Amino acid sequence: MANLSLRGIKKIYPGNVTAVRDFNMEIADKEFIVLVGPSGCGKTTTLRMIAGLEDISAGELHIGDKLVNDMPPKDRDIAMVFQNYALYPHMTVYENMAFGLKLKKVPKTEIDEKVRNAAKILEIEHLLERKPKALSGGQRQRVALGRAIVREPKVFLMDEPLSNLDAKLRVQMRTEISKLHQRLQTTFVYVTHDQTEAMTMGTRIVIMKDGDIQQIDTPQNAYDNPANLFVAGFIGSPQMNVLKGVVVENNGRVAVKVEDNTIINLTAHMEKTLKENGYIGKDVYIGVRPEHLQESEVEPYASEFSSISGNVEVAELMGSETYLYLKVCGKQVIAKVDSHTKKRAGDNVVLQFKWDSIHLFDGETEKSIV
Amino acid sequence: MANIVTALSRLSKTVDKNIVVVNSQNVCLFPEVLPAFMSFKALTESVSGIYQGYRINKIDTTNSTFYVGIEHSDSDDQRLIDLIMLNISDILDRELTSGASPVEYIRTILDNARIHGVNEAAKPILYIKGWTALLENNREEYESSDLIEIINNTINAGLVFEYRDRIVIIGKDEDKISACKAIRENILTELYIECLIAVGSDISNELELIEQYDCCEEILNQVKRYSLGSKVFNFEDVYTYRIASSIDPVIKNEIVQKVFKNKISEMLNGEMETTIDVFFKNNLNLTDTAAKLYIHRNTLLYRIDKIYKSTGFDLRRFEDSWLFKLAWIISKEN
Repeated sequence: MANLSLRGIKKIYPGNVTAVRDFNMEIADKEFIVLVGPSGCGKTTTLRMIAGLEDISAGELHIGDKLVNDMPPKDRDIAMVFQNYALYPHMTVYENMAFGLKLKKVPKTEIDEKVRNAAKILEIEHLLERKPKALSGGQRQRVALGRAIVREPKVFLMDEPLSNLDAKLRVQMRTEISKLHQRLQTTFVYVTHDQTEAMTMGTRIVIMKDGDIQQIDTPQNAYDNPANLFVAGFIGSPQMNVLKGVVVENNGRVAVKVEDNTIINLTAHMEKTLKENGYIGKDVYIGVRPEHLQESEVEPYASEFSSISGNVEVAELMGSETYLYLKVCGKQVIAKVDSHTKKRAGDNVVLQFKWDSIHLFDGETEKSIV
Repeated sequence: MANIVTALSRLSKTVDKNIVVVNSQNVCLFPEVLPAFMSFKALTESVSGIYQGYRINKIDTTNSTFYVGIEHSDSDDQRLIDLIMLNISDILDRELTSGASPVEYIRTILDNARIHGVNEAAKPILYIKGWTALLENNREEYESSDLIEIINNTINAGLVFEYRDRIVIIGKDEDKISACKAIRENILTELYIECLIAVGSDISNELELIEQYDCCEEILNQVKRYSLGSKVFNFEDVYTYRIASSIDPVIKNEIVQKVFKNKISEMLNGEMETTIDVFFKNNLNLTDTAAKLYIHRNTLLYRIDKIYKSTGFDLRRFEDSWLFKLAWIISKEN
């Protein structure tokens, strides 16, 4: 069993700098957990504490049923893959993969079995006799993964392993790592700043900011139900459109009035929640994903829709869709519309969105209301 | 050195022949000064030939090359020449490294330099071409032999040995910084230990090694004093820190107070601290910093503006940024 338990984990550096505040999480065996967030959010520090490369300032870390806070990295039964890795230039791929086991004095026959098995999993058997300089970037990355696989660890820890690859190769290796997880049936903890990597690879993702967990959820849930404004903006590309407004009662209905006095109506459930929680007259943020904004000519105006309008600043044709960039209430709004739209820069556009696609966040705490 | 001179002098008298011994760094070991009618260049280019009446031979040892001139006569018996060469080789081995291996010899001279300093009259003897680096790791549960094996397999190493809980590396790769980064990455990958590597300059003999060892030690001290992390550093990387550390403590305090006005804690959250560090590392370039931090340029501008509002220092202005950086460095001093 390779479940991980992180209980009240803290990391405080000298000078009272808090890198990770209070990290609590149970990771089940065979899960693929992705820690994601901007630079300085504490994701790498958390991974390094799991690895044993950083001391834990407070809290408990269990791998399996063992408390490992004071256990040196080599005894934790983990394997790490880093963003920067080096291969031994004068060794073959086989020797590169075998070297770590050789240092651990593993018998030769066992090394051979493990290296060949890892090579088979990574589909690099035909490369075993090659030297690193004769390998492509992707092949080298596989060898780096192979060095971790041969250790047969309980937990794989990966710290931005794809960041040094070009965009095309990164997409390819993303799939390879997901397949690897399925084949190995082991727990993976993966760190990235890239929300696309997080969304596509993780069974659950942990979104972090300033040393705090913002949300732990499945990628779909984090996208559909962001816990706060930060998660709403961080997950999804292009990011969620957010406008500030105030909750008003209008003709017997509860609505949000945004800065240009546009009234945005809400679902009955949203109205009820806002009213019951005393939000009338209070500031809120209203969020709508770009794909939920549609030109009003494309879909007929209906009662469960609200709309905003603005002047198109830029129209970007992406092939399958077009991004319209416009300014609403002084804020940039992006709409992902049909690629055949006739709208161009300088045109006025009315964008409608369904009430149930609206996200509401508290104006002070920025936490999700509905 | 005195022993070499005495031993070679005795040999010269015994065989009744003048002898000249120089090393590949143009140091004359015997006699104490190269005879005026000889030049180092011509002598070293005349191996197996006759130069200014001397038969020139070469002795290669693991770490050095010596050129030996033996006064030539047409009646010389080759067996006598061989015997003289054998004697000289033996003297050099015995006297220069006290019969020890080059590593043991270097350890001894490093020890002696620590205790007595470097004798100004000392002449370099070994030929050790390469760059120097000093590796330190914070874990004790690993054998240094494992570290040495990883290093030897990662770079084109001249000599790698343990000395006072650190590993001394003499490498030959063209790009020493990349080579040291590769060492660090391989040690981290194989053993899961972080290393700090100080990279010195090129050397060609043991006296320069002593000098560069001291230089690397100074780098390590500065890195630890300012908690710069476990990475690869060279002397240029820590130069500003050396200046900061030499400032009078009263003035240091004044600088920190002037810049931060007791608001240092606002800067020291993970995100803001990373932003400041990366902005300085990227030469105050907004685009590069934003790219490195994976944030929008406007987000970066917002953070820099926040610093300005809090301290009155605009990091985009050189006049403000240099003093801010100095205060930033001082505030991190251990």
